[in-house]
Amino acid sequence: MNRVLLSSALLLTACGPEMEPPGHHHDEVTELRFAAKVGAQDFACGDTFTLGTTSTAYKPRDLRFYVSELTLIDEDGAEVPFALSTDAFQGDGVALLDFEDGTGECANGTTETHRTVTGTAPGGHYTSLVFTLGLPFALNHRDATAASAPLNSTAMFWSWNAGYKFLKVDGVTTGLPMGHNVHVGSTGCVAGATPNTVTECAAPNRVRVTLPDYAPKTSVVNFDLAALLAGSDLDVNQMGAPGCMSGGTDTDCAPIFQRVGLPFAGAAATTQTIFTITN
Amino acid sequence: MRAAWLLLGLAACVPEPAKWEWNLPPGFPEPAVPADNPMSAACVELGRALFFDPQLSRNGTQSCASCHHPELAFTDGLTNAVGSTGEHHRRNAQGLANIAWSSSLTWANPLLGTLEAQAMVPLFGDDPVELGWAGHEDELLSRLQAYDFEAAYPDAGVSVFSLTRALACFERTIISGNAPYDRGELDDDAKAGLELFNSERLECYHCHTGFSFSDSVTHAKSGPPERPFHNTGLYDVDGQGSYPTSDTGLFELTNRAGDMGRFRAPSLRNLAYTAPYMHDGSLPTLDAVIDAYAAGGHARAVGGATSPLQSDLVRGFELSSDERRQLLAFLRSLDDASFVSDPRLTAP
Repeated sequence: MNRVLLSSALLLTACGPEMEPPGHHHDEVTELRFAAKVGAQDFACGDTFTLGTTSTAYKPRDLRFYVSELTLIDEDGAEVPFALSTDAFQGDGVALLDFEDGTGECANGTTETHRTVTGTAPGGHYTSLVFTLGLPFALNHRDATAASAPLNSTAMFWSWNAGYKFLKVDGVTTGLPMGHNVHVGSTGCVAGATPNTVTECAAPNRVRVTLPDYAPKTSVVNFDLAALLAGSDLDVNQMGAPGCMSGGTDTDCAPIFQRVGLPFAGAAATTQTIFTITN
Repeated sequence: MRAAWLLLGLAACVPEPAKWEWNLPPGFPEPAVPADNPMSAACVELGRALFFDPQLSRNGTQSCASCHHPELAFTDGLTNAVGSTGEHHRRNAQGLANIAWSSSLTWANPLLGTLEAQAMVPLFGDDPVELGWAGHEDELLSRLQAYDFEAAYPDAGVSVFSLTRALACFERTIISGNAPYDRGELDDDAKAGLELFNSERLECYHCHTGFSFSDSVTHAKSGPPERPFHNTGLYDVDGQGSYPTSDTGLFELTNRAGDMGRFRAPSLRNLAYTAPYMHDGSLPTLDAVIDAYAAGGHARAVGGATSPLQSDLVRGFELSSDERRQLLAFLRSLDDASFVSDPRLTAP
């Protein structure tokens, strides 16, 4: 499926107007590329990275996240939705980005990865990409047992919170050989009168990410693990869950939520720093 | 009478699957059952087989019954449960007697409103790992191909949907209502104990009420579920009512200050089989539990002040040794020997 889309994209490129200056092509947009980085290095499951405030040795166990409501913004400021195609990692307007390949400490993961979001947007002079890190409310609290891809990934199930992990970043470190986990998702959810329904969540914890200087053809969206964990002591667990599982009083979450661009324990949200663009 | 004849007429015209016969103990209302999981002999049998199958854990070492033994009223006798990979749970495995009527599942979670939803936690949870299937649904479902899901769930096949439905279907048949109390066989001590239990001095009955001896009860005709949670003053680590950070109860889900240390009131049926007690298994005996409530909460029993967050019904009381014997006699009248040896609730 990917191969077919890719070849048709190549064909379109070959037939497109070659006189246009770079970045001003009108080709239909068929893919948005993502990558996982650790600072300047590429993320890989078998590797060991030096991370956090204690410069600990960090071995990844998992790196997956949901993106939704992907929108391109053109030079006039018009918002153009990127309509996602449907496959094993995409559906219902949601894509699961998956950078673990089941090797090394990621043995609990899957061989398959998903780094390129496929779909369509009409050609245009696009300058920015906007997306939501997380699932829309309407999808987050449905019956996961009956969900289709990509909402059928049991690794992303967050049943005790009646939803999904939006961002799952797990690893083992020198000080926490049993694991350091980052699970970001909606918390403080309120049960509705009908069993298993949710009326609202006090902490939705979904982030609208805006990335300027984005050109669909040349840009790659980088998720930077080093940036996510830059303010965290990864050798000592504080309060409750091992790492940050979005607990409202888990002080491990403070530096992580700040970097993800979420409010935490009275601290207002600041602009996220975990996603960057390479052109 | 006319309505009954009308129903019979309809039944004759429109063939329907045989209506499930609950055979409920006297006074037990019909449980609420999700529309997508009607009771049937087929789903009960399937769920029963799955419940007792160690293949339901990824490493093949544990079934649901490993933490919910029928002979222990579906508890495990441990202080804290242990998952299939050896991870210790921070909580005490709960008994499953009459779990069909529980308004919410696990010790403190209003979001888990049905057994179908609850089953996802041990199957796919990762803190702690219980059955260990997070991320491995394909392997799980391929392992279950030997089961006959077709008979119970012809439209869903072998799926996470039908697996969780089958487990829930069986669990709704885990019914205990044949204790001496139910048969009206209270001796004088137990009768006096019942009076104490229901007294405004001890206040036990507010939370441990009705046929299930819990106030977190829903049934087919009860309307929107009530989902109460209570702080019993078990802990107060800072003089402000805080519980240990390892388990703050309902607060963990809501982050509301008033929800610190609030847990669902468990049933008091079958206490003879379900020790140790409380959400973390921290009180080993019924005497220890009575001591805690008599002191106005365990935190006070060990020298603290009254927690500002504890239930106003946990005030403390004086209890003579005769009264203690009577109260224990009443609690023992809720022990259902036929339940813990019911062959329908064992491995097929």
